[in-house]
Parts: sequence; structure tokens; C-alpha cells
Amino acid sequence: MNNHFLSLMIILPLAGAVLQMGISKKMALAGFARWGALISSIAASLVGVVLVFSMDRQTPDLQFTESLSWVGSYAIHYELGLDGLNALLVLLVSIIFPVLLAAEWNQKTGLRGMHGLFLILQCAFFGVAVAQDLFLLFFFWGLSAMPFYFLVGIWGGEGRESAAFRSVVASAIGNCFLFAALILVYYSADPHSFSIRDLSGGRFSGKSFFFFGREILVSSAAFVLMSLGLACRAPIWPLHGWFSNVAKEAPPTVFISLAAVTVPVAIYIFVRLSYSLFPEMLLGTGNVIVLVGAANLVMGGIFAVAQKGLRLLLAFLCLSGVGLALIGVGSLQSAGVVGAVFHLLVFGLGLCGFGLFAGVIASRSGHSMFLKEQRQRSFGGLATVTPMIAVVAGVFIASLLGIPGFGGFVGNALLIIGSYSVHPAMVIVAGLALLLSTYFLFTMYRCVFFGEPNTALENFSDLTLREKFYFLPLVAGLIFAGIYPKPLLELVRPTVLTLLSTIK
Amino acid sequence: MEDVNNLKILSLGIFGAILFGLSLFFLKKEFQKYTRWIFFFVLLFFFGVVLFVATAQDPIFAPADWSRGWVLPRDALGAITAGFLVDAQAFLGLFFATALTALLGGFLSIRADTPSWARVIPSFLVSLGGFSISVTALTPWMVFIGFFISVFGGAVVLGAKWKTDADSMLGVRFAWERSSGLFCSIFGACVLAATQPPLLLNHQVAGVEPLGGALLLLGLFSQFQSFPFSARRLAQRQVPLVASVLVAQVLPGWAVLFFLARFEPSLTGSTIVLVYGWISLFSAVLSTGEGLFQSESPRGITIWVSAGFAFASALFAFSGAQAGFVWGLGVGLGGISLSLFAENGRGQKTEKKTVNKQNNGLLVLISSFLSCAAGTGFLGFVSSIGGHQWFTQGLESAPMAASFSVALFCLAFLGWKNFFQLNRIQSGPTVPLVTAVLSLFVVSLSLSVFWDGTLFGGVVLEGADSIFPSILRKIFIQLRPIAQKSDMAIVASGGYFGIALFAFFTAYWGFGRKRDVLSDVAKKFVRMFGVVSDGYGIDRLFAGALRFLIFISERLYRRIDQVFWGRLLPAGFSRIIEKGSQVITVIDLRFFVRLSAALRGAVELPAKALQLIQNGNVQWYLFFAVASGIAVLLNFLKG
Repeated sequence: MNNHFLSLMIILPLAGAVLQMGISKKMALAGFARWGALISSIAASLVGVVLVFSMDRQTPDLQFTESLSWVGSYAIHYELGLDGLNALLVLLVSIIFPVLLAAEWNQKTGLRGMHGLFLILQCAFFGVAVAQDLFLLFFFWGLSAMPFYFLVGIWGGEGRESAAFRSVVASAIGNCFLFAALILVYYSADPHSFSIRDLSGGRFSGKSFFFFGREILVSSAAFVLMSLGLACRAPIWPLHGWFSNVAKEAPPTVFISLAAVTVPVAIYIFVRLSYSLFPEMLLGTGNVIVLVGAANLVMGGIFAVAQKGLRLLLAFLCLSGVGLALIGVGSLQSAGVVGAVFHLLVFGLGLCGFGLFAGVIASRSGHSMFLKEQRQRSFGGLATVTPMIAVVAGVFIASLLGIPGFGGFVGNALLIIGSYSVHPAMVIVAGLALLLSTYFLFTMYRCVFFGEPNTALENFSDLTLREKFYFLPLVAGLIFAGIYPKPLLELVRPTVLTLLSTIK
Repeated sequence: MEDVNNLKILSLGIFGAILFGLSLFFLKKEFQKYTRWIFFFVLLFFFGVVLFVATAQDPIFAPADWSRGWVLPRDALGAITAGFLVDAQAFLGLFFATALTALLGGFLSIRADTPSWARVIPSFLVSLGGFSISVTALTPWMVFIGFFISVFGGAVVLGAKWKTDADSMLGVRFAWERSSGLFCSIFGACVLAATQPPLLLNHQVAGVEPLGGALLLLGLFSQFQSFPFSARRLAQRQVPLVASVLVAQVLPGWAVLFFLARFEPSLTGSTIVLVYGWISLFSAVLSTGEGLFQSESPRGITIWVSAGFAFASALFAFSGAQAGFVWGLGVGLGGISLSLFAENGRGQKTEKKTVNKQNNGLLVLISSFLSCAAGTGFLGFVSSIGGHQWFTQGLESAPMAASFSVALFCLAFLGWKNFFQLNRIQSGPTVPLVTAVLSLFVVSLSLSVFWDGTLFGGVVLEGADSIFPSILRKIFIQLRPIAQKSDMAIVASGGYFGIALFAFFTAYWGFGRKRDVLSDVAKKFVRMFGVVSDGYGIDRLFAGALRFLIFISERLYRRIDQVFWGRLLPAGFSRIIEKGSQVITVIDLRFFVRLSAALRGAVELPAKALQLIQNGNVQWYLFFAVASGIAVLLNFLKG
């Protein structure tokens, strides 16, 4: 049924971005630009949230579907749909982008440009989430890479040019691999098609092609290319070098959109395509996926211990979180996969909150280093000066650690429950890495908020009304997801069960 | 349906208490004077709710439970379930903890010299809320929520003076150690849930998965803060000792014992429980060793309480939930009672030597004696029931009897050492009458007559000393009977109380007289005993391990992330691209030169020929005309 609500959700931020171009400097100074951006972003988010909560939770089928022919001669369709796998992602994008726009409310340099680029990103991520045609998905995925180049290159720190360049090179390489995989899939299907629905159900089983005289299965080649392409952007260890560089140089909000949105979206694409298009490959490589996940988790944890700054800590937390999600994805158990999908939402919200907290600290002190070179504290005693920041940061850390009552607990517990029965050793490794994360997060919290107050920070102000406003949806979201996850899990479960049943 | 409504009311009451406690942390300074009123009002309200729910049950105190799927449907594989269970055991816990919290919170709030009371008092409410959730929880997940809330309360109490590095370090370290333990437990519960959903505490889990069970018990054990953790840090001068003992030790310790009591049917007969019991016993003995060499009695008391709880969990493993529970009761109440004096500065080494006639010395002596007796299973106290039961069972196996005897002796020795240390130094400030009376009251709650209705716990007179109906038999109705009549009963009683008395006299010999024998020995072997009093160097080992981890992670980060990814790889890439383009340029240039030469060569000859033709010289025209004629002629001649 074509009711175009999903299109509306995608187009609204794009319209907002176009509007930014039409606003004169005078009007921008009067606040038209920021209000215009925020309103269009919130409007799109509202559409997204309403759509997600009005979904039928009993069915695994795609809902609110739209299908139009785009390039008929190549069977490219403008095909959209919402199901349990992408609903939480739509929710994540809906919550995060208005928050990021509100966080950049007082941006002094190139406000219109920055807000416009954020709106393009929102449009692109909504598009990736709901696209049901491989070409359309790639179109939006490609679209989401370019704004980062400008956002990092223009608004970043001292080494912004290098960071922006690395980010765009990594994205380009990743996109090349992904595109190669999609083209391979397209030409292997008979009749040629980009539609995920048409291509799903092991359409390439047994199909092969010759490469330098060697016979190669289409599904294995496409799966490897796709995985490599997404690993470049996710990022997966050891392909994460550009990511930590961007973490150092990018503005907090930009890095948040990279860590808290791009990464979950990349994992989503992997889940969507591998479960739909390459089920036999998934069955064969489940162990490898779990192994990669565990390696990510451990390396993220180890690198995080070495960090003295909040931004890099966030980057390596992200690396660990990706690892945890991959363990769930590779488990091929319903609880594990549901946990992974849920984890993407709560982990994204938690990272976003943590990143904004780092931004709040940096905006007041000029830096976000909680330890100096010799591991002495830079801050200290902020809990008494800024109790609201302490509470809000506490909530994000509690969720990232997986303390019961917060969203992170639900995701982590499901991942462990689902994965333990099939990969006990890897889950134990994951458990140890999670214990490690309690150390560095507790240490960071103590260094920033407790102990002898730093006299240089006496004028450190607590959260302003605007900051409270944008922290609220994140805190509320994490608490809601932790206390009452039922409606969200009910959305995910039927789709995951159906996908798993087709695989097995 | 009515039961379910009652449970909902109770849960609202619990969460209300927690929320009020949390909101009190944020009271502005001008409103902080109302803290104690709000505290009492909330406690009264909470007590009323518990009383209402208990009496509304039909029949009174009847068990009721309610559960539903929290994460995934209730009976689905991997489901995490939320639920409440109230029975006599839960009501007892709720009433008892509320009353104790009210008493001690009230005591601290009326004392003007309680440091940071505006944070300490609300944290009592939060901890009580956490404890209440734990004891009324139907599922392990709810128990963990309760524990985390308790940990939060404990961390606030210990780090109540956030502005000092030492306090904040203490609070955060406490929170970290306990949270890590709880994560282990959660991990274990997840493993159990992966095999047998739903995980409910009123249903027996058939065949507990070894790793899951072990992790669950390991995490719970860490809540006691016994060896390899150290409870000596809990005795911080800035915090009233009674507050940290109640919130950071006794309430979490009791909550663990409640949980173990509920989970016992699932664990019975499992090898994990036996291993857990031996580990607990070993830990208790090592902790008492650490406690013996503490020069300040507050530290000795906190270590003694922790060791006592570890001992209780060993009792749980070997003799069942009831034995462990009653021992834990005695240790908890004895510890609270004793800590009331230690916080007044008694038992701390000080240069001041003033003997104050008004320091209620006799009352302090009696009360502290009873406290130590309660915590070491002396005759007439509820703890003796559990200790005696195990000793009776242990007589059947020599290693067990020997281990138990050693552990009991060590624990009792440390308890009495604390008693003598507390009373030997007459130098502290005045102990107010209210403190002494409160201490006496608290310790009197641990008398066996209060719990078992018998004067001597049915230990020596085999039930002939029964005065009232036993509360214990009501709450542990489904579990093992208290006293197992045995032919060896007299031997057991004699042996058990003999060890307790031996420990008392040894402690008197060591500390009760003017000379502190152990201290003298410790002075001669400073290094060795320094290690023991410092928690066997575990802290240093742990700090070293952390330093090593940080060192490794920094090196890895520098080598892999900064050097390889940050410098070498980009430099390598740009060098490859640079050199590659240079090589291609050179190749291109050479190719172009050769191509040009080849082209020139190919074009020059015909061009010369054409040039010759076109240069206007008649002889060349003639030459080409004759040559063309010959060529045409030859062609025709062929045919």
C-alpha cells in the first residue's frame, strides 16, 4: 500500500536542508535557520516515531510499503518498508538528529551549512533504514558518507583536513566493496533485480562465476565484499584507524552521528543483507562473525583503558559495542539476534548521550581530557558544582555498562542469553571485556565528578535549560527501554523469528 | 487478584521510598533541615504499606506472587522475568530492616556531629529500598536491581564527603567492586536463563548449569566484601561506622542470604555449592587473619562482619539456608551494635588519656560483650543454632569438623579481640547513654528467644527451653529442620561451645590484659604481618595488575593505533601513491619518447619520398615515370 508516510519521513529533512540554502544571512541571524532546521527534523522524527508505534506487532511482514519504478530498464525501484529489523533504527535516527541540532544551536560558524548537512544525514539514514531496494539502499548509504567530509573538514579541530580525508577515503573504499557486491548480486539473479524481497531466500545458492580460471560462488564473493565494505565504515577492528582519528578531530555532534548512527546503520545493513540474501553464508560463517565481535570487544576494552580523553574513550566504547552486536548477530539464536537489534538502539542512545556529555564538558573547559599526561586528574569535584551533569552522565554510563533498569541491560542480557548456548567461550571473553569496561568507566566518572575540586573549574556551570531539553529524550529513552522494553521487543521478535526460520 | 493488587501496592511503596531517598540528595541547602522529617515520614509510610499488605493477605502473611515477562514473553526461551513474591520470610525482612533503618537513621539524624548527614540519611532510604526489592523479588533480575540500588546507597554513604580524594576513591572503589561482582551474577543468571526459562525463585531449577551457578554465587559472595576483597576500607573516619556497617555490609549481606535461602532448593546437591562453601570458609579464615592485625578497632569490626557473613555462607553451603541465615542475623546485629561504640572513637589509638566517669562504661562493656557473643554463635543467641547444627553434621567427617573448628575459632578470636580492644582503651570521648541503650537493644534482637522461642536455641535442652512459637520454623517451613537430634549431641555441644570459650580466653590472654601479645609479635615481624594486615597484598597485586593493564593498553594503543594506523599506514599509502605515480610518470615519459621515435621513423621515410617527388627536379619525375611503366609492364607480363 502506497501511503507515502515513509517518503514524507525521508523528504522532510531534505526539504529542511534545501530551505537552509534559501535563507539569507540576515534571516539566519534572526534564528530562522536553526528553527527551520529543528522543525523539519522534529517533524520527520515525529512521522518516524508515529509510524513505528503504529506498526502491527504481530506480523513479520513489511509495513507502510511504497513501491515505484525508478529506472525501469535496470529494474531499479523506489521501494520502502518498515519491519521489526529496521523499526528501532528509525526510532534511533528520529531521536538523535533533533538532539544533535539542538546541541549545535549556538554554532557560530556556518550554522546554516552545518544544520543543512545534518539534515541531509538524517534524510540519508532514514533512507538507508527503510530502503528495500539494494540500489536505493546504496544510494542513501553513499549519500550519508559525503556530509561527514565537510562536517569534519570545516568544523573540526586542528587536524581536521587529514581526518576528513581519511574518513572520506575509508567511506569510498567501503562503498566500492559494497557496490561491487550489489552488482554481483544483481547480475547473478535471473531476472536481474535489486529488490531485497525478490532476491531473498537463497536465490544464489549454487550459482558461481569464474575468476582467473577459478570457480567462485556468487554468494560467498558477494558476502565477503559486502562484509569488507561495511567493516570499513562500521568500523571493525583492525580497520578502525580512521575512526579514532575522526574522534579526535571532529566536533562532538559530528562524531556522535558517526558513532551512534552510522555504526548501528552499518550493522543493520549487514544483518538485513546477510539474513535475507546470504543465509547459507551466514550459517557457515557464524563462528567467524562471533570471533570478530569478540576481538572487537576485547580490543575496544583494552584501548579504552589507555585513554585519557572522553572522545577517544567514546570511540573505543563504540568499537566494543559493535563487537557485542556482532556476537549476537553471529549467534543465529532468536534471543541473540533480537538482543543485537535492540542493542543497536540503546547503544546508539547511550553513545549519543556520552558524546554530548563530552561535548558539554569540552564547551565549558575547552577540552575533554579527564586525565593529564601522567594520569593526574584534569577535573575533579564536579558532582558538587554540576550535579545535573553528574546525574545525566551517570545514567548514560549505567546504560552502557548494562545496569538493570537501563536500556543497556536488556540488550546485553539478551545477547549473552542468546549467544552462550552456541558460543560459550566467546561469551565468556565478552563478559571479561565488559568487566573491563566497568573499570574504565568508573575511573573516568571518579576523575571527573568526585574528589578535590579543581579550583580552575569553580565557574563551571551546570546544564542550561536547552541542554536539559536535549538530554531529556536520551535519558527518558534509555530508562523507558530499560524498564519497559516489551513494545520495542515485540516489534523486533516476529521479523527475527521469521528470518531465522527461513535460515534454518 | 487481590494478592496481585497488594503486591502492586507494596512495590509502589518500595519504589516510592527509593524515589524519596533519591530526591533528598537534591534538596537545596535551605531545605536540608527538613531531611530528617521527610526521612521519618517516608519510613512511617513505608512501614504502614508493609503492614497493610501483610495483614491484607488472606490468611495473614500468606504467600503471594506475581510475575510477568520483562524482556520477551514470560515463558519464551531467554526470557527475563520481573516479579514479586511476598511470604513470611519477605515480610520479616521488610519489617526488620525498616525498624533497624528507622532506629539507626533516627539515631544519626539527631546527633549533631554526624558528618554529611544530609547525604547519609537519604542513602539509608535508598538502601532500604534496594534491600526491600531484593527480599521481595521473585526473580534473580529483580534481586540484582535491589542490589544495585543498595550499592548506590552504600557508595553514597562511604563517599559522603565527595570533596576529598580519599572518600571519593573509597565510594567509587566500593561501587566498582560490588558492581563487578553483580555483573558476574547477572552473567551467571543469563547463562541459567539461556537453558531454563523462566528463572523464578519459587520454582526449582532442575540441573543448574555449572558455569551459570558458579558465576551467580561468585557475584553474590563478593557482596560480603570478605577476602580477596577487604572490608577494612569501609571503616573510614569521615563516615559514622554504624552507617557504613548497616548500609554497606549488613543490609547487602542479609539480602544475599535471603536470596540464597530462596534459591537453595535449586542448588541442593550441586557440587558448586560445596565448592562455594569451602571457598567461603577459606575466605572467612583469611579475612579474620587480616582483621587480627588491624590496630584500629573500626577496621577490625568491619573485617569481622565480612568474615562473619562469609562464614554464614559456608554454613549455608554445608548445613542449609536456615543455618546460614541465623548466623548472618547474629553477625549483622552484633556488628551494628559493636559499631555504635567504635564510631565514638573508642578503640582507636589516641594519645589522649582521659578516663571519663560518665562514659557509661558498664553498659558499653555489657553491650559490646553481647555483640561479640551474638556474632560468634554464643549460647543463647540465634547464631548458635546454625553453628551448632553444622558442627553436629561436621562430626561425621573429620576434615569438615577440623575446618569448621579452625574457622569458628578464628572468627570468635577476632570478635573477642575487637571486644577487648574496644574496652581496653579508656580514652575515647563519652559514650552517650542513648548509644549504649540503642546498642543493647539492637543486640537483644539477636537472642534466640526472639527468633526461635527457645532460651538456648534448642541446642542444649533439646527443645525443653521453648517459651514461644518459633519464627524461624515459620519462615523456613519448607527447608531443613533446625536441630537434628543426634547421639553425638553432647559431644557436639561440648566441642562447639568449647571452641567458642577457648577463643574467648585466648583473646583475653592476647588482648584483654595490659599487654597486646599479637601487637608485640607483629612488631617483631613487621614485613610479614604488614602483608597480612594489608589484606595479604591483594590490593598491591591488584594495583600492579591494573598498572600492567594500563601499560599494555597504552603501548598497544600507541603502537597499533597511533603509530601504525595514525602514521605508518597513511605515510605508507601516500608514499605508495607518490612513488607509484612517479614510476608511472617515468614509464609514461619513456614510452612517449619511444613511441615518438617509432612514429617518426615510420613517418619519415614516406615523407622523404614524397618530398623528393615534390621537390621539382625533372630527373626524379622521369625516374618515377620509368619505374611505374616497368612495374605496369611486369604486371601485365605475368598474366
